[in-house]
Amino acid sequence: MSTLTDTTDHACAEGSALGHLTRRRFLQAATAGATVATLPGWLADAAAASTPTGPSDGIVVLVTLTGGMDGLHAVPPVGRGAYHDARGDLALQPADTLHLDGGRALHPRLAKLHQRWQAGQLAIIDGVGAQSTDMSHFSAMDDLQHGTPITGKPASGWLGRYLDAFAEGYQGISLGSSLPVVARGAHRRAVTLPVDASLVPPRSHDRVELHRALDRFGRQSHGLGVLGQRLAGEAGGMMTEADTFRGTYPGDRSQPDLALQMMLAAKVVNANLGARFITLEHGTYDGHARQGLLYDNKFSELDHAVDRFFLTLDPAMAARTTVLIVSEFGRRVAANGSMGTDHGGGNVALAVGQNVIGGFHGEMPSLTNTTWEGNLRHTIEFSDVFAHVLDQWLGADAATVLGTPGSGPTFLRAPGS
Amino acid sequence: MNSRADIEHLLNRAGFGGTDAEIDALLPMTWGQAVNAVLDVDGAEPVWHGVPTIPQDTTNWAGDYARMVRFWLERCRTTGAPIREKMTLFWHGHFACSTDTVTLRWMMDQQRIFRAQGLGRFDNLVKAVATTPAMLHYLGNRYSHKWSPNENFARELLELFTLGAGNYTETDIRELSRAWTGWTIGDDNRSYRRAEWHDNEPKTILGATRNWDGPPTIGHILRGPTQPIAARFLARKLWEFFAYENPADTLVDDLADAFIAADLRINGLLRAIFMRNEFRSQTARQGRVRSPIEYVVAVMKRTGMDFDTTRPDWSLPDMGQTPFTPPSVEGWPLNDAWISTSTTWARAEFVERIARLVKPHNVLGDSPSRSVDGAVDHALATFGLTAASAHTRNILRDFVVDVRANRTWAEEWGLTTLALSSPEFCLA
Repeated sequence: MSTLTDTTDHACAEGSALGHLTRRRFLQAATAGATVATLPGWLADAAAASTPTGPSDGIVVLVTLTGGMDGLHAVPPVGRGAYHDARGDLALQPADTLHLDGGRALHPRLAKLHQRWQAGQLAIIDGVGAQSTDMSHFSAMDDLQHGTPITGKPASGWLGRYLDAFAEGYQGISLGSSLPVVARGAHRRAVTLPVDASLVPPRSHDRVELHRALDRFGRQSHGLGVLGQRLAGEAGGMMTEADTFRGTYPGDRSQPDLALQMMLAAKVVNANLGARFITLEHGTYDGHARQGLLYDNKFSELDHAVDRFFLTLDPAMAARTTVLIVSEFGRRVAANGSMGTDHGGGNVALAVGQNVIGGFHGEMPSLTNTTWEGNLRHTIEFSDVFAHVLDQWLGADAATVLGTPGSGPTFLRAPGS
Repeated sequence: MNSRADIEHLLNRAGFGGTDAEIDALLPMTWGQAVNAVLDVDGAEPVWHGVPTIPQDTTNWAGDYARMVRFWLERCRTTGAPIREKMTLFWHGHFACSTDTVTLRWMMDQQRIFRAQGLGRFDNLVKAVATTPAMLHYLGNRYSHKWSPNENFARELLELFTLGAGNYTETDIRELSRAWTGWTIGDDNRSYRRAEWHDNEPKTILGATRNWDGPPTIGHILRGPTQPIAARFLARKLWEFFAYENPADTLVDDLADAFIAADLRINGLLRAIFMRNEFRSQTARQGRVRSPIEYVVAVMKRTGMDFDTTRPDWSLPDMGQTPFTPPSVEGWPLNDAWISTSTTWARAEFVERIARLVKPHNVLGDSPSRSVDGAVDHALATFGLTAASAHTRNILRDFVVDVRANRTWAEEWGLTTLALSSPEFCLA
């Protein structure tokens, strides 16, 4: 792996030049000294992708808002009396919100998203949910990540199964310290990138020797079972990953955490290393008590981070990159007594980008004809939303990945066009 | 007669890995005696020993937080009762509360309960934890009153703490949340039931109608008709924590029976787990990845270097496990979640720091004075890896041969990095 000794400090400015340099270095690292067949799993996959994504290959950045994001607080129906009746002091007042259409508005802290709405680059999908048997965070999160309603813990997620079946030569990336279920397939898994770590590849001769030794752990069976072999594979994989991605790390450390992650996501897209999806999480939106203050902060972070993403994104990638924002469930229509809301049902999902079909999709559920628990009835399954992304944006067959063809809303144009 | 590997396995799981002295002490015993020995906490330091006093209104959050982490990880490293700290880690995940919203003082107070009651009767433990200010605050029950009950605590009590999803109805949750209305925190930072907030009407919970108050519902859940479900739920979770994921139903049933026969004493359930043949199977030995906290404590124990020398708190957040700050109410995940390039990289950064300390602290002695195989054997033994695979042994051996050509100063550094990065050490 001669490139590991490369001490040339390439300029790491934003933009596509970086992508070219990094990709070249990446492929050198990936193919030097080993045949593809002996490389750690994801790296072999990535190395096989000797060309970057094509001009009409869509890329999706999946932002999961954990804890159950209250869609009625993000997109409040301020024009409806039932909303104010149910929410009381927690309800947002029309004058304080950002006007949309049809008596709907955006939360005041989502001002940058509101600008994208006005530019036709924000799709709001109403009534999204799943047929969960309970309102547990974990059952709902399992459904969301698996992509279709299931019983028991999911072994795989919809983006992971997309990798299994359709992403030949491409890869997925998860930001954070552990790999979420959504990005695990039966055979292939996304690469995780640390959010904070300073990825410095080895430079001195000793470190190169040492890292070469570390890389050997994954090259042979240890007889240590599935977990042991996976651990062994990561020992070498991380070094090549460090060398591949270090240039994509934002130099600006002053941004808040989510903004840093979104900027990193944009730079990974710009570098065009073959990634078709990037996942990250933001939480917690579990507003059982004093939800107003919590959401002021969370929405500010989210709005700023999405804005930073698009400011960092290479304009050449803009027509085929979309940000999809989902949460495991919405929240009860009526506020509870703690100035908060309990776990609910139907919710909004958001898609942001140059090639989304801006506006409302689906149907806003009734605020009064609710489930017996007092939750919004959902009309669109998670799987319908994901099916459209798979078919329209990722060039896959939704029925294969999800076990069911989608019948949901159309909120994306063709990528790249 | 047990092998050294048997005892290493027991001490890995019942604690954070054994020192040579700890292993030697158990070697002559029968398996049953060794299990009893690791479960015997009577001779260990008192639970209150050394616990830092944290002010409720701290003026130095970072400093006080560092003192808490230092105390706990040092306790894990040096305790005479590792099982108590291992269970403290388990309960911290099971009853997850977080410094995200909870004060340091309340987190420290709650941990004291895990340590003092974590091996005793499960129903008593749940009752004690349920009314800690940490829990009442974290799940929002402190603001729940009869006019509009907050369901959060009731839901987690059934789903996460006692029965598991699918074993109760939404109506049970609503009724249970009514029973817990009024349980809040006073100005003196103690929990109490605020009478005018409490719902004094009959509620029907898991089939029994009564004017329920909160704490007695825990006895109802754990000692009433749902007892077998609760026993299986915890037995499965503890088996997965100590042995491997997805155990056979029959195994879980046996453990649940033993748990009930032990009057819901946790140490009785642990004894049943460790005594199973399956606990010593290859599946079990390969069934657990060290979580970051387990990993850094094992490194401290095997190198003999303390918290202030190694400062694992600098690395734990990037490794994905920040003490007192679990990621969600579900606590920390197991195994697969700790295998990612991100965690591997963060762990490698920690190992790099440790490896540089090994020579000044004389952890491996004078390695270059040994034969090549002697140096490898000594390093593997130092890190508790006498059963390392031939592949791992070869990697260390080739490195020593190479490094001795001209850079012997790097030998201890490299051996440490490789041994601590090996899949054998990363497994628990």
